[in-house]
Amino acid sequence: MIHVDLEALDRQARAIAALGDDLRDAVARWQDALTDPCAPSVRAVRDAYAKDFSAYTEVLCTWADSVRAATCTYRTTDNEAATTFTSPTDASATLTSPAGAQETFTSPAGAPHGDRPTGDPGVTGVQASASRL
Amino acid sequence: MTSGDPWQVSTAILRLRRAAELVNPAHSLPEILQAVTEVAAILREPPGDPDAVEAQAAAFHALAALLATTSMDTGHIATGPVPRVWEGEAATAATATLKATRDLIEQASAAMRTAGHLLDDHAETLRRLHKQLDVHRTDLAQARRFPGIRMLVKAFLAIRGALGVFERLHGAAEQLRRGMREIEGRAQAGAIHSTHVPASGAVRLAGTGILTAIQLKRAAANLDALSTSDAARMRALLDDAVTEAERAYLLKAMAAGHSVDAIVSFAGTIHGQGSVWLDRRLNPLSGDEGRIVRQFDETACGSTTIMVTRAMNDPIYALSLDSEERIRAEEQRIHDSTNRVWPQRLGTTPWGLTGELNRYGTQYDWRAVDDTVAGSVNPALEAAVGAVDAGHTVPVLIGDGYPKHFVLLIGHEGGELVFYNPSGEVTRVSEADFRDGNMSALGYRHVQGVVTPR
Repeated sequence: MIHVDLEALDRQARAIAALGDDLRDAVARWQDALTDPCAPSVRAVRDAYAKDFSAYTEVLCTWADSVRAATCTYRTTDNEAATTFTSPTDASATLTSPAGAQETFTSPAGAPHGDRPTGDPGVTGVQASASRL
Repeated sequence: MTSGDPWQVSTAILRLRRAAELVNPAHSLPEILQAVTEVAAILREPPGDPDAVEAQAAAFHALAALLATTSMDTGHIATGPVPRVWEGEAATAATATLKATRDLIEQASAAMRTAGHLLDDHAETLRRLHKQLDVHRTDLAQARRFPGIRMLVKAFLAIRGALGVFERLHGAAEQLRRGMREIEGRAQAGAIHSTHVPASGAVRLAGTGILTAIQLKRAAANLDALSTSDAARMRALLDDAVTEAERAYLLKAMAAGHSVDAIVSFAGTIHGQGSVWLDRRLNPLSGDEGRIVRQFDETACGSTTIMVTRAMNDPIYALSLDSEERIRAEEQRIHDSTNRVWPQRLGTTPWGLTGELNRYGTQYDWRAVDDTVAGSVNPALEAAVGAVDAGHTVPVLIGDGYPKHFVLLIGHEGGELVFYNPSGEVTRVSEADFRDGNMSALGYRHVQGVVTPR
């Protein structure tokens, strides 16, 4: 039996999404405050950094989506929507990293390949490490 | 004119100067009164709104504070629960991306704070100068009540006083512009973020500091211009890169305008090399083990400046300079190329240096500077610092009495300009010293020319 703290995963995903949302809102407020009339050099800073901030927000949102996706997969696997997996071999989730690559976040018992959570090998390890989420 | 746009302030200065010339007994009374009326109109609405500038400053400070918190929280995410239970290549890349994002957000927070302080200072300057302008406006209004020569004298003094205030306003607006331009140059992730480079790749590349803003933009533009098959080959090369530094140098080669074939060959050479190797071979100013390229012949400062300019923009060229013999031979080749007519013992001419640089992509112009003449250095300083803020390097000709030595402006940090000296050193000179003609730290006192991108 594998225990995954889905609530903790959920909290993590929500926290990251909130971080991205807060950043997006703050940048929008900042841009609003710098509408014309405004020195051209200030406008240039606004425009250059708006693109940077957009990239940062995208990274955070991708990460939030990944964690959320992992959570959803766990929920799907666990038909009772509880925090306990009764079938370790089915317990897997795909995380899309902010780098764009996808890897399987899975139970050691169910996956002969792919990355696995750290911790002690075997189901106990997954239980231990997943509980930290 | 919220912040006192320099162009509009310049126009006002010109009109005030013309009015000051008209207010004297040589002109008729209607002409003088017309001039006074025009000045009164200029002074009625002084340039720059300190309240609006202060509001902009507050917006920058608020964003800086939010970014500081976001940076800290992103750091927690990068080292938090999910990365702790997730390992492998994607996890490593994810963590690297989050850490790079954290670092860039932290830098952006500092940049926004600096911008806020610049605007605070500017608002304070505007308030002070507006008060001074009030005094001159009142004097001008009172001047009309006096008859004859007393009116002339009072009006003339009021206009001269207002002119002085406008000149200080212009200086303040220029200072703000310079500060903002430096901040603008530090924004990098957005420059490369494109259809070919996702946000995650953009932040990791920006985090390496290997490409300047202009190089990131050129890399993005050159990637966009590739054929579908070349774009796929380039994508494969980038995916195959072992480290972010390796990936950054591949894109730097793309920014330099190399073909995908040439970059494939380059990728084969640098693939899997560590960061120390990459820095030592591909960065002509790597401080590691005295790798900084230096001139061999005492008349070859221009040749060495050209060589380093190219090497800083083109890692494939930098890689070719892998021994003292090759550097010496390249120095001589460049000297032969720039001095087809001019004797080599007299060094490189600015036009020779410009012509050679123009063979390799970026197009440059040179301009003579006389730092003993007011107004000559300021435009040169503007052009040079503006170019370096955008990520270019700028050859600068210095001397004592006559042109003697080329150095290379490679950076602008705060109020300091960073120069590469072909004698093999990197030296900092304050903007004020550059403007005041004190380049002694580089061996010669005066700025005598700059070579800036078009």
